[in-house]
Amino acid sequence: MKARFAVITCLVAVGALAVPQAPAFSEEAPKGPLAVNAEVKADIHALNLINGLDLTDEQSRALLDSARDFQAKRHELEQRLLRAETEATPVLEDVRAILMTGDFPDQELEHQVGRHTGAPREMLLAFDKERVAFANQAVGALTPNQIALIDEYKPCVIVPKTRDTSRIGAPAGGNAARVAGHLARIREVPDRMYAAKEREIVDRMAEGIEKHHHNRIKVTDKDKAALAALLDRSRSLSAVDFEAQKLDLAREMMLYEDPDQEIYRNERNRANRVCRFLLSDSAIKAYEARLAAQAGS
Amino acid sequence: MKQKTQSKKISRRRFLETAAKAAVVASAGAAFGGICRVPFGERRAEAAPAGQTKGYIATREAMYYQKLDQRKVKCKLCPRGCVVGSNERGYCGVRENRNGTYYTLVYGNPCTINVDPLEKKPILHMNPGTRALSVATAGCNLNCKYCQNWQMAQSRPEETRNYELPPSGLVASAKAAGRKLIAFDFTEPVVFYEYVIDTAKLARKAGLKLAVCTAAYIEPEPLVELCKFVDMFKVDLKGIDDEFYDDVCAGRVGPVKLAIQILKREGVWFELVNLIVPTKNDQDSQIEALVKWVKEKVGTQVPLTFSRFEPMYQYKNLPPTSVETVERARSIAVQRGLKYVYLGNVPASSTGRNTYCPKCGKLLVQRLIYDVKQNKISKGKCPYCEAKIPGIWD
Repeated sequence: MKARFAVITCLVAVGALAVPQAPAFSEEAPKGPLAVNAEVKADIHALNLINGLDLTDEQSRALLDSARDFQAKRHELEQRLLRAETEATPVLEDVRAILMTGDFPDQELEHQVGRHTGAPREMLLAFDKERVAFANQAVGALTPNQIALIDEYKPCVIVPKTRDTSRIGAPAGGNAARVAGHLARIREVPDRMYAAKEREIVDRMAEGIEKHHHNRIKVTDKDKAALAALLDRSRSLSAVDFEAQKLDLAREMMLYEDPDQEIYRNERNRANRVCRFLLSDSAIKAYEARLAAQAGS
Repeated sequence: MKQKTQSKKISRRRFLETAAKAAVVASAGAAFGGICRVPFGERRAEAAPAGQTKGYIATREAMYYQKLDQRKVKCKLCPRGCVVGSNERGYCGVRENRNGTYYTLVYGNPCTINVDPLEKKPILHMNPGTRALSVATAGCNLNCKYCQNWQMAQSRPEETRNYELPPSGLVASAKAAGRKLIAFDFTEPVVFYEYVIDTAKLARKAGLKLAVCTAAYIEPEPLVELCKFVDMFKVDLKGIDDEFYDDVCAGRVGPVKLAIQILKREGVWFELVNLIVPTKNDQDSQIEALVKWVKEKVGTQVPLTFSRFEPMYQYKNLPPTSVETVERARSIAVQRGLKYVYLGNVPASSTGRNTYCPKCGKLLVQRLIYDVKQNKISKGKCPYCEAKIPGIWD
């Protein structure tokens, strides 16, 4: 009897272990690599800016407080948006059901749809004003130089190690210096070869410019003629004159570099930058770690 | 079970043959490596960028020297006062006695040409945001162990790749490039004095300004003459005592102090820079002494920059100067009453490069390292309280 009981107990135990653990109700599905990398990159972008600002402890504390308040506001907004979306679901399902029959929603249903889609939009507009207020509050703790650095910040993973740039996290070299390097190389092309390949060189430069702007602009024939004239001018300069003028020539060559047309126009907005990099969840982790390390030391 | 090993017996002939072949291969490889001195894909070491010629020398008879007996000359340009025999050169390596006549070998053959913002020199009270056509030849009359341009400064002109650029050409290039300012920087303009002064005269006629960045190790007479044609000087006051100058720079502080006082007397605009080197001149007592001398002999209105040292040249064993050290130096200077004290080589977030009104405290010029973000100085005055801000504000 005892032996039988022991066997049954063991079988039950093995059976319990063999049953795969059902995920807990509140557990999220594991993140894919894209989502994981996006999160890590967000942390890196915030850290590069925070490191470059050389914040004092006092500034870190002030920003941490602002970031936590902002985080609470964001979560509150997320909950409200979630509720609004949940309330909109039956209405949208009604619309779908009617459309499936080939019919059109009546006016009453149209009004309901308007109310439910309008509500989240109003919440977001109201939140935008609060967001700007948070950003202004955060910026109040910073010096003019730190604010200027935020305005110039270009997020990247590896910050270039150069002392000349006034930006932190900026792409290496500065665009004019890089373009001047291209000009210097084109100057070294022998005359005969340049004469034979001039059109090809200009076409490739135009392609490079379009690629630089993610194909959002098209280099016209007029621009190509201007590029060709500029290359001729730079090639005709003496070595000394080229050294003296190369940055200016490079800037002339940088077509379509009008800041208003830059792709990251939205990110030029200071409030967006402050909220994205200095008041984010990533930033909270960074401030907490720094302040804890300071307290520990 | 022991493995059988076959012992290979090598005959003496075979050994000698193999060794000889190895020697031939090794020497051929060394010869080939000598021809191709640099790895594949890189420029050959001897190739010079277009327009520069290795060892190009441009000469003219030197100024400020005295002929002595036996075809010797005594240089009177700098405090070293080298007595130079025929076919010999002075300490600077760029002035040569040829049969009793002293020549400069760096007249119109600069080894570097660049367009730099004034903030990089640093020159902070002269038309913020201006970019100068900056030029230097080989040579220097000091030998600072932390020199960041030692490859040029401690070289002779035959060792550097030089442009052919006489004074008239330099002025013409500056005008063609739209530059309103020429600067002599990077090495030591005192040693190419003739080039500087002739360029300065032409620049003045052409309506251009001229700045000289120097350690000011120069005799009074040539300095006074230079002051007539140069618009501003940036002077490296490297230390405040002979001990530092002797140990670190192979010089003396007395002539530098005298030169600074001459600049003040002549009324030409100048700014001072002190590079703080850990364990050499970073003690509070040394900084206090320097600040005290500046205040008493020069005044409180002269801009003074404390710059951080980076390991370089013969001081690679030293750590970089901490930001706290230069901030402390600045704090000492401000407490002693100096009005315009700046920090060099500090992070972009530092406000140490900004200019504030000494009267009302408002921000006048905001700089992010070398970028001028805003300049509110109007006609040489603070726009808020009308206090006069010394400098050159065109």
